[in-house]
This record gives sequence, structure tokens and C-alpha cells, in this order.
Amino acid sequence: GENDFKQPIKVDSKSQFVDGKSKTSIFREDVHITQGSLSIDADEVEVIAIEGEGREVFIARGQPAVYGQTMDDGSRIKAVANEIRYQVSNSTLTLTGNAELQQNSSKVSGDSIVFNMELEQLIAQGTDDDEGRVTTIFQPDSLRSNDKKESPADPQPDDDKGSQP
Amino acid sequence: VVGECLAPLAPFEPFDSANPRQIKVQANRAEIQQDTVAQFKGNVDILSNDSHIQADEARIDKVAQQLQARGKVSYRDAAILVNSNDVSLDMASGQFNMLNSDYRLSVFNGRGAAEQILLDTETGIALEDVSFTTCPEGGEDWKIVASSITLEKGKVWGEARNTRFYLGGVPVFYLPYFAFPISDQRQTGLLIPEFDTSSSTGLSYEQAFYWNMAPNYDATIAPRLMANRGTQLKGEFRYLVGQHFGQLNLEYLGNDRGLGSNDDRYFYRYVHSGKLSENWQISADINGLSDDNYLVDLGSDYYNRADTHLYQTVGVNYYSDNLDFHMAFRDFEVLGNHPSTYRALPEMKLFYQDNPFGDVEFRVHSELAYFDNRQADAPRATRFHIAPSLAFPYRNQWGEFLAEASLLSTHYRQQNVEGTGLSRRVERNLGQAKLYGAINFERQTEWFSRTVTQTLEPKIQYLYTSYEDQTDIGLYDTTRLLNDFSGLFRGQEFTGLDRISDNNQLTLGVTSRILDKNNREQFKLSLGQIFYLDDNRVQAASKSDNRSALAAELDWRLGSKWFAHADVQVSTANDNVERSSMSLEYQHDDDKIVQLNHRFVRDLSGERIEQLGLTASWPLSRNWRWVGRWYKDIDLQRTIESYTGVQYESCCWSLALVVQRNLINRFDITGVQSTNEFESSISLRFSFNGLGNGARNTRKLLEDGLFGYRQPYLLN
Amino acid sequence: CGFTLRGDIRLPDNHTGVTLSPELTHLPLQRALKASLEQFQINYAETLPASDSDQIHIQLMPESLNRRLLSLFPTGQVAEYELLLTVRYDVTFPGQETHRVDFEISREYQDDPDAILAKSRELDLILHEMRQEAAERIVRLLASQAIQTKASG
Repeated sequence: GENDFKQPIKVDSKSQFVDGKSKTSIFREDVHITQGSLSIDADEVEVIAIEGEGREVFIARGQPAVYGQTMDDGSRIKAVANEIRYQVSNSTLTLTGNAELQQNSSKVSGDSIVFNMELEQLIAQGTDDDEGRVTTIFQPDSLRSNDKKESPADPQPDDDKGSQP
Repeated sequence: VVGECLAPLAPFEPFDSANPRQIKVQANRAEIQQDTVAQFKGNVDILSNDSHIQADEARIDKVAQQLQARGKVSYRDAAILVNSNDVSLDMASGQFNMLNSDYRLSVFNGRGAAEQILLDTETGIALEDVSFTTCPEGGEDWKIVASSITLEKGKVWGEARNTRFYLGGVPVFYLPYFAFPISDQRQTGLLIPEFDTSSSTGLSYEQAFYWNMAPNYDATIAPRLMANRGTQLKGEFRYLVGQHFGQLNLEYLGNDRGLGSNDDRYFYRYVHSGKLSENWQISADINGLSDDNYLVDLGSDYYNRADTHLYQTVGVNYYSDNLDFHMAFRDFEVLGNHPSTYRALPEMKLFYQDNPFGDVEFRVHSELAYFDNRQADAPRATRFHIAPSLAFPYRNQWGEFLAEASLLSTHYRQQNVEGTGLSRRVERNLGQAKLYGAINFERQTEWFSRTVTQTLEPKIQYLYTSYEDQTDIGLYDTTRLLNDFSGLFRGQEFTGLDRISDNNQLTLGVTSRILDKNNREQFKLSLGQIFYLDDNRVQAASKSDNRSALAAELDWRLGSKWFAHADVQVSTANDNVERSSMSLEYQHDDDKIVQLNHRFVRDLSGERIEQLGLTASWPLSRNWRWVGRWYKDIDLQRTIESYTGVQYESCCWSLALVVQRNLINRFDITGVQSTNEFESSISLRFSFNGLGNGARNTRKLLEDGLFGYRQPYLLN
Repeated sequence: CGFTLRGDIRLPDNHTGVTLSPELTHLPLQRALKASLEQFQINYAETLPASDSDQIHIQLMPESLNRRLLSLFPTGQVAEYELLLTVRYDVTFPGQETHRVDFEISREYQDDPDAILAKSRELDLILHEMRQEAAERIVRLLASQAIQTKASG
């Protein structure tokens, strides 16, 4: 949620390169970043903090890179893509290259996905050919009228294995 | 003909997802506002377990529980394919609403257009301002236009309102309402106009009304207008309540103009069967009619014109693993002048079986019945029978053996016996022993230069039954059993229990089969005969010879087109044929058939029967077919059925002209049957193909008429 | 003359037995089928098949009994009928598609208006025998189908 970004950042990776002048640090090989409920696993993560506190940009690349975070309403989102760019300022997540985003019980996959977490608005774009279209999967309960809010404890049929930290 | 006909809809394969109620949407672009609205644009596919929607764009509004699909939309599920420009789904009720669309149905191969289609997996399909036909595009020989057609789920009938029939684009017929069968359950209902004329009814037309009263009961009312007789009202009421289902049929024809006496005629039939509990079941089959000629004159969907009686039985059964109990009141409505008919009011049967040790089977058949007669002064009886038996069956791969011993003890108390030679109280105790053995042999051999398997299956049975004089017992439910090959090893010569013949006899039988490499019978010959080791002392069972007639049965598949069947019973003492039936058939795929058959019975209730029959079905051209049948009574040198039918069949309709003349059994007022009363009829039958009349029309013609058609042989 | 003993009713070793549908346990044809299976020492259970069961499942369909005219008396009255018992059932071999089997058993029967109660007893007896023959035929067909599916399986 919002206060994730006030939490301390913990990073571990095989190698690290910091460019103090442009305030950009690049972590490579088995990069694992956690900040509050936010977690990033990727081959390479670039953190650009040139614009100061609360305006950082994370760029994670991997085969695929994985991004997970718990939202204010308690639901867990998980994003997977070749490149994941997260701008803290407008809390927008941009996934490109067989991107996939899962929240509550609906899952969207496509060529590129832009997800504004504040407005909870998602725009997914596919390639022109049939195979490259955006695929959205709704679980039955997610289509029910939202009077029955899912509590985090609700066991989600999560078919991705153990990526949550 | 099949070439340019409407190809049937391909079966619908649901999108198989791990979780059956999952919905998958594919599109070029998706915009999702979490938990409220999702918009999809470009080549949209919405796949769910029971339907598949394709559209240019779609919108799922979770708050309003609405799904909308726009642009070139196609909806497909197991029952229907719809092309529309606006399909919306109310996700709360699960009901689809599709505007100005054209559709294809799969329940029967039909298509058309509709202003509005309301579709719901629970209730079914409703099409408003709809056109419907089973004809292909461009070849619309007929179509119907209706303000509404409803196909309700689980119902046997579809209903159409304000229906106009177009033949070749010309409106020819209007019906405010009509019902048509939509399930392949035996539905006799109307297939739009079936015009019949027969000498007994004249021009007749029947129109069914379906009344969908409630989810578990409905009714069909069908007035039948007959030029020679007037209007007959036929009603059928069906119900399904819990584990019970039943059906009531009522038919009524007020002052029948066809009869000199103009009296009223009716027929009723009530059938019920139900489960009272896991083990108890009840059933009823009660029928009645106004006069003996009802079936002959007006026909029936439930009884054959030549039937001699109708059932009036009510019964209750108890089933369990080793104990069965059955109790019934068994009475009959008798046609014709047969005053002294016995009935069982009631009859009770108890059957118990157990395996005391190993394979030994201990069984007890017991029965208690009271026989009453319609004639007041005829003898009546209460009969108690109990028959414990011990059987030692042994079976292995190549044979089976059976040794069985039983005691048959019967007690009678008879009334109205004065001057009849019957006694008031009779007790009969008989012993019976049976030894049976059968062995199967086989060998490889050559059969018309093909290697085949030939089997040889000899059977042998010895039967002994002790003797007691039974002349002081009346005949209540007993008469001689028809003895044919299948009855040789039965060891019982009479039905019921009032006569049990004494036996000291040996029965020999042998069957030989020729099986091709995938185990299909090409040839089957069976022979069997009973050898009586001493004469019967039970007078009703006395025989003129110490051997029964030799019974033989032959089934032969001669190549792929010719089939022969013969079964014969020859008395070996004087070599005359007691009974024989032979048939030879040429069959080339199922629409070129010619069958010649001959039947002979030396003495059947005092009559000699000899009959020759010829049945043929032959295509005249791609759309035209001829069906013919001719049966001749050789004894009286007269034709008893001649039938000819010509049929034109196109993709979506067929027209048949049938001319037939056959012997009928009408009763005169004294209940005696005339011996040369014939009925002839010409009927023109127009029917729509593909509209709930599954059986191919040519087959229906072949099986129509008095003798119908059946393949003569039973090779598996 | 070359004849050897023939064993024709046996299920290939990879089939352990047969399952029948439980709610038809009192259906007359199913009772005859159970007796026939016992005679041929094929074990059976009245349970619905689990999706991965290695048993052969037989689902009996409602049978139908029709009559067809064979011959007439001079009065036009029926002399002989043919009774036709049509047996239909679905058989599912383990790991195979369900397929529908149907066949007919026929017997000749003669009506006699002067002994209607006795003739209804004969009808019950013939129907019982037709069901026994049908049951044995289902088992016999099962054995040959099992051999074919094993060959093609």
C-alpha cells in the first residue's frame, strides 16, 4: 500500500553498481528487493532516484522479472514481464514483453500492460495477430456483485508457485 | 440429396478451464477499472464453460451485472448459434437478450431470423418475431413465420404462436397456436399437416395443443376431425412428482356418424409407476374402451388394431438382495365375445434365494392367488403354491453343468364346482429333478476359402417329474406353452400351475456357429429334440409320439448383401412339418431392400396358417423412393395386405402417397368376427424433415401398415 | 476332427471387473445382468465409476418391448406376434470413449382370447427368458469388445 514506500529498502544481489552523480544504482544477478509489502525479483534492477525521495523509478528486467505488492484493500497483486517499470510518483506500473498481472481473482496477460495502482486502472495492449491478443481471466466470484469483498484470508486459486516472499 | 442440404451444426466444445465457471476474454485491447467496468476492443472472444461469444467490442459492468457485446457479434452454445449486432447478458439472472439476429438451432437442424432471442440456460430459448425453416439457403421450399417460438428446457414440446406457413414463398396456412415435438421421446404428436383418408375415418386431420401447466406436469389436447365420423377429442395428461411419474390418456368421440347407432365412443388409459422407498415400487396399467371395434375403427397409439384384450392391473413390488415380493390385481378388458375370462384378484408371489454353502443355490418360489371369473357360475379357486429347490450349478470357461432338485406343493380350495368333476379341496405334491450339461468346442476351418472359427455347442438335459392325477383341478391360469427351439430346454409344458406334466425325458440340442476374425457370426445352425422315455399320464400333456418335433433354426449371412433365416419344427414320426418360417433378404445399404418370407403352422388353436409375404423398398431416383408390401394367405388364396407407397424426399420436406388395403377384424353386434372385412385407405402425408421426427422417413414407410418390416435374422 | 475346448467368456487380464449404476439396482435387466456376471465369475460393483477407474462401466438404458404382427387368422385376428426386446446400454472401457451398444432379442408369441390370464403368464415367462438371453449377450459382447479394444488400445 501507500506506506510501503516509507519502509526501509532491503536489496541483495550478486553485484551492485552505483553512479552517485546520476543517483542511479544497478543491481545484477538474482536481485531480490523488498520494501514493506513490495518485492521485486529480477536478473537486473535499475533504481533511478535522481528526482529525490518518493519519486524513484525502479526498472526491473528478467526472464521474467516478478513484482509483488499488497494493496491498501488487502488484495495482493503480482506482475510478471520481461521489463517492469515502476514510477513511485504516479504509482504506475508499466509491464512490457509477455506481461501478466494478477489481482484478486482476475488475471490479465498481453504484450504490454499499464496499471495505475492509485486509480486501480489497468490498460492492456496486445499485438495485432490473434496469438498476441490480451487475455483476461475472471474467476466466477470476481464477477459476482462486489458486496461480498474478498478478505485477504480468502484462499485464492493461485497457480503460480511460491513467488510471494 | 445431402449435398446442398443444411449441414448440421458442428458440436459445441466448451473452453475447458481448470475451474469450470471461469470466464476467459481475449481482445486486442483491454481497459479494466478494478471491480467496476472492463472494456475490450478488437477481435473480442468471451469463452465460458457453456457459451462462446465473439464480437468487435464488449463491456463487462460488474456493478450493474451486465455484459454487452457490440458490432459483428456471434453467440454459440450447445443448443444455438446466433449472429446479431447486439447481445447483452444480465449476469444476475443469467439471461441473454439478442436483437435482430439470424440463428441456427442444433436440437433440430433448422435456421431462421428473429427480432429478439431471449435465452437462459435454466428456462430455455424464446424467439420473438421469428422465421424458421430446415431448408438450405436459397432452397427455401417452406418456412414458418411466427410471433413467438418457445423451446422450454426439459419439455417434450415446443410451442409456436400466430404461425403462418409459407410453401415456396406463398402463405398457405395459418394457425393461432401449434405444438411440435422437440425431444426424441416417443412422441406421437402432430407434425404439421398430416392428411389421411381411410375407408373407416374418411379425410382426417389432427391438431395438437400443448398445455404447459407446471414444471412437473403438462398436458396435450389434440382434436381430430374425421369426415366420416365427427370430431374425436384426444387428451394426454403427464405428471412427474418426486419418484412417481404417470400418464392419463382420454379419448372421446361423441355420436360417431360412422356407426349406424351413432353412439358415443371412448378410450381411457392410466399408467403410473413410482418408488415408495428404496425397495418398494408401485405400478398401475388400467385401460378401457367403449366397444370392441374402437381400436379397429379409430386406431390407437398404444394398442395394435388386432389386439384381443387390454390390461387392467395394479401392482406393488418389493425388491431386495435375496427376497422379492410381488402383489397385484390382474384383470383385463376383453374384446369380442369371450365370457369366461379368469382374473387374479389378487395374486401374491414371494421369491427367496440364498447360497447356504459354496455355489449351492437354495430357492423358494411361493404363490398365493384368488382366481375369480366374470361369469358368476364359473368355478373359482384360492391356490397356494410353494416350491423349494436346491441347485448345484458349475460353470467354467468351456462348459456349464447344473443339477437341480425341487418339490412342488400346491393346495386348492375351489368353489362353484358342483357337477364339474372338480373337488372342493385338492392337494398336489410333486418332485422334480433336472440334470443339464453344455460343452463348447471350436476349431479353425475354411469357409468359402476364408479361415474362420467354427464352434460346436452340444447340450443335454434329463428331466424327471413325478405324476399325480390333476383332473379334479380347474384351469385358471394354465394353457399349453408354444414349443419352439428356445422352449426345448425349459422343462415346462404349461403356463401357470394348474397342470404340471409328469416327465421322464431327455432333451438333446446342438448349435454350430461360424465366426469371422472379428467374432461376427456368419452362420448359425441349431438343432434340438426331446425324447420321452415313457408316456405322459397327465392327460392334457399326452403326446402322439415318443419324440417331440425336431426343432431347427438357421441364420446365414451369404456374402454382404444376402441374408437367409429359417426355423422349422418337423415331427420325426410322420415327417410332416408342424411349424416353419423362412425368409430370404437382399439388402444393399439400408435403402435397397427386398425380403421374401413364408410362414406355416399346421395347427394353431385349430386353424391352419400358411402365409407368403414380399416387402421391398427401392429408390427410384435421388429424391424418389418406392416402398411396397404384399402378404397372401395361401390357405384361403387371398391377399390380406397390399401396400404401396411413393415418396418424394427433399432436404427439408417430404411428401408420401400411400395406398393400402388389408384384412381387419371387426366384431358384429353378437361379438363374432367377420372373416372377410377389408379396409382400404389412401393417405397423402406431408411432413417437414428435421422437425423432431428423428426416424428417417423411408424407414417409417417401411415399418408402416399391418405387417411392417423387420430384419429377418439375428446375427451379432 | 480338430475340435478343442473353447473358452469364450473371459475378460483380458488388464480388466479387473465391471461397475453398474447403483440407482438401477432393481431394474429387471440389471438383476439378470448381475446373475449372468456371477455365472461367468466376473466381479462387479454397483457404484458410479471414478474418472480413473480401471473397471468397465455399463450404463443400462430403458429397454423397449414392441410387438410386430407375424400372421393372421382368417378373421383378421392376430394369430402370431413377434415380441421384440430392444436393449440399449453405454459401455465405457477404462481410458476409452463411451460407446452405445444396442441389439434386439426376438421371440414368437401367440395370443389366445379364450385364455387371457394364462397367456399373460406366458408373456411374463418369455420376457424373463429374453432378459436372461440379453444379459448373457451383453457379457459375451463385453468379452469380445474387450479383446478388440485391447488389440487396438
